[in-house]
Amino acid sequence: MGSFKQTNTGGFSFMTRILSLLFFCSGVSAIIYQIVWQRVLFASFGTDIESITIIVSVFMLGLGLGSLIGGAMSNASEKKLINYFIFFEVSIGLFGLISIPLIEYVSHLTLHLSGGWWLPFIVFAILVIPTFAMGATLPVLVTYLFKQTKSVGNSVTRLYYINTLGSAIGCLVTVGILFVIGTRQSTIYAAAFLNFLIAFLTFIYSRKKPATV
Amino acid sequence: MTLRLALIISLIAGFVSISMEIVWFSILGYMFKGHAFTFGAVLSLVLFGIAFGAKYGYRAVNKPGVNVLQLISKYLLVGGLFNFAGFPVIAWLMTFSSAFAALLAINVVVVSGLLGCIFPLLCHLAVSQQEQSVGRQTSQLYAANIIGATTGPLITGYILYDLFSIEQIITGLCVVLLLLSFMLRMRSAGAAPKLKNAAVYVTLLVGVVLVHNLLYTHFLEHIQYQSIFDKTKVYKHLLHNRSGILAVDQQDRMFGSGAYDGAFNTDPSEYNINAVDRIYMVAAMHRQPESVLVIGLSTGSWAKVLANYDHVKQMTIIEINPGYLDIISKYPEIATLLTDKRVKIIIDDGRRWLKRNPDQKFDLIVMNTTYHWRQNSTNLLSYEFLGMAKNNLKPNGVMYWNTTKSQDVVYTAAHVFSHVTTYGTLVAASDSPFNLTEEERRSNFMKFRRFDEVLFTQEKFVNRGNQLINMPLPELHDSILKQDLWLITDNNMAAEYKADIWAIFKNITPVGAEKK
Repeated sequence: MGSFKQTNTGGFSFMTRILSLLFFCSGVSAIIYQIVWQRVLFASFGTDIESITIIVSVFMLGLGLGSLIGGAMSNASEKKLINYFIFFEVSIGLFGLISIPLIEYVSHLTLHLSGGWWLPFIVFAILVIPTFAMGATLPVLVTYLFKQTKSVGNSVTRLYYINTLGSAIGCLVTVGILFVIGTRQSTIYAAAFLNFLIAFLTFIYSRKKPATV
Repeated sequence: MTLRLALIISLIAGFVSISMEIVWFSILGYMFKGHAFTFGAVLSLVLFGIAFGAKYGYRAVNKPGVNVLQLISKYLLVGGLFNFAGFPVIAWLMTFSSAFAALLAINVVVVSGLLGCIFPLLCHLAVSQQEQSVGRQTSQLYAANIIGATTGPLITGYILYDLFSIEQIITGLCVVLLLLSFMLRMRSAGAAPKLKNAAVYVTLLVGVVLVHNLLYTHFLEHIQYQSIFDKTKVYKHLLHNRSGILAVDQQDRMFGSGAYDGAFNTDPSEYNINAVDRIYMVAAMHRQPESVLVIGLSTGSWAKVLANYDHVKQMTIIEINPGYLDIISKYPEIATLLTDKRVKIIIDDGRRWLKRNPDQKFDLIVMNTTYHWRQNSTNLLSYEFLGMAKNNLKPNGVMYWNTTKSQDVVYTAAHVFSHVTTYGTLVAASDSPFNLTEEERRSNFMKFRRFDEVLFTQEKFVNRGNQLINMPLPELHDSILKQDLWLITDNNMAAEYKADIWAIFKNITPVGAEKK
């Protein structure tokens, strides 16, 4: 690790490969949160179809809006883009740590509001930070990668593939292992650990990377 | 391709993809009867499909002479047709051998793969290669895709599911994909003559609409019964709504999203198909239950028995799926429940209703709960839920619910209540002992009526009545607590994810789990 060297294999630098691996882990942690939060939200606000529809839709709306924010931030320099990515991962991890008690507390506070038109706004308020951060990571990293590959399709495909593959595996790991050996809370801790690890490794590698590729 | 057109395609692709995902959850959930692992497994299949679709779809672009617009058009066409025809054909094959069920998973991966490559291909086509535009335009395409996906649960899951059957929705999604494919085909350079293309697509569209009824005949029966399907398994009643799929078979047994949900019967003697004698046993558990809360109506048979019990003055029923009321209305004996002035039926989530109504108190709470291994069963079986329900009991109140043969449910009950007993697959729990005398029991059992006549004095039911009156209800509180079982909590979800799996590894204790 200490002898980091800028290499270029098949169009992708070593740094890019590391970043892809970290984005894979980001996909794993994102799906863990999605599965656990949906469970906690269903238990808190109800498993009727109205609640399920609102919770799933609001989650995705947050990702979409986060993506637009990420797009707006993507004109920044390479260094800033990496810092944004680190910031997003740390934000998701920090939110993750307090998420279950927070959701339960908010659901208790809003017990008599959440059956009506308030529910989408309550769920949105709970999920706004992590979903915005999750949605923003793709455009930020695509821009970063594009600066190296100069190919939009290549950058998008690589990151989209690697992140989705992470989510697919994360899904199996969550219900097949983490829920079997642990709890909702310990599963969230595993996801938060991944976020902090991603942020830490990205920080380390970004410090070793030359300013221009 | 202009960015605006790409945004529209991305939006539609997002909507169709998530709508198909909702349909797949319904179909595979139906096959697996809503097992807790179903959601994760199906979501994983979808994500694998999208990931590999994105990767290999993009590889195809790099081959020489490829027209990307035609490629997208082809993927949409094949994805739509595979989704439309794949499921009923595989379901039909499953009637020969259940092993064909594996093809359902492959179909999900293939279709999600074909649709999964659309987004990166659109980025390839529409996003400017200028550095300052890449992030912004990619984010717009991504946002359009996700916003399309956001409308999926709202439009398909909430509105279309209440108006149309699954096969009609699949057909509709196929039509949308064919139209989108056709539009792109027409716009792409080097396509075959417009008239020829139009003829092919019109033929496909008409064909899809015409054959969908035939193709999907007994589709859900094939999925449910697989290799044991025959004509006697054809459903008597079938109801689709946004809350799920309800089916009634020829023996008047109800299935909710594929899982057995009870049967239409209140006869505890000869035709005891639903072991309805279990609900009559409340007469041996509580001296005078005047107010009753029933969580989960299902066929209404249990609630009808309680409504026929002279002690009961008022009954509140919480049911999450209004479709049950429509099916109950087809069964005259049970349907009287719907017009009974003592009975109040509320469409709500049981747990949420209890949370919002802590001041409503009952002598008896009854839950004919679904299988403990189904998704979200924890919400009605956990230590936290039982604590909530206990708060809604009057002094000497009794809670009586289905363990579905899970001893962990009994064990959890013993952590919340001072007295626990079981009858059949049900557990009864209370803070007062179960100590009705034989005389008290007999007096109570004589308060059940059926068709306005006292039930257990009728010749047909006398023996059954005597059996139930003398049925022992052993105190299990202390003995069950000594066993090595799971305390089901909201946090550990033991009923759904642990008990059945850890039973295989009896000597290993999982890390971080709340096992006592």
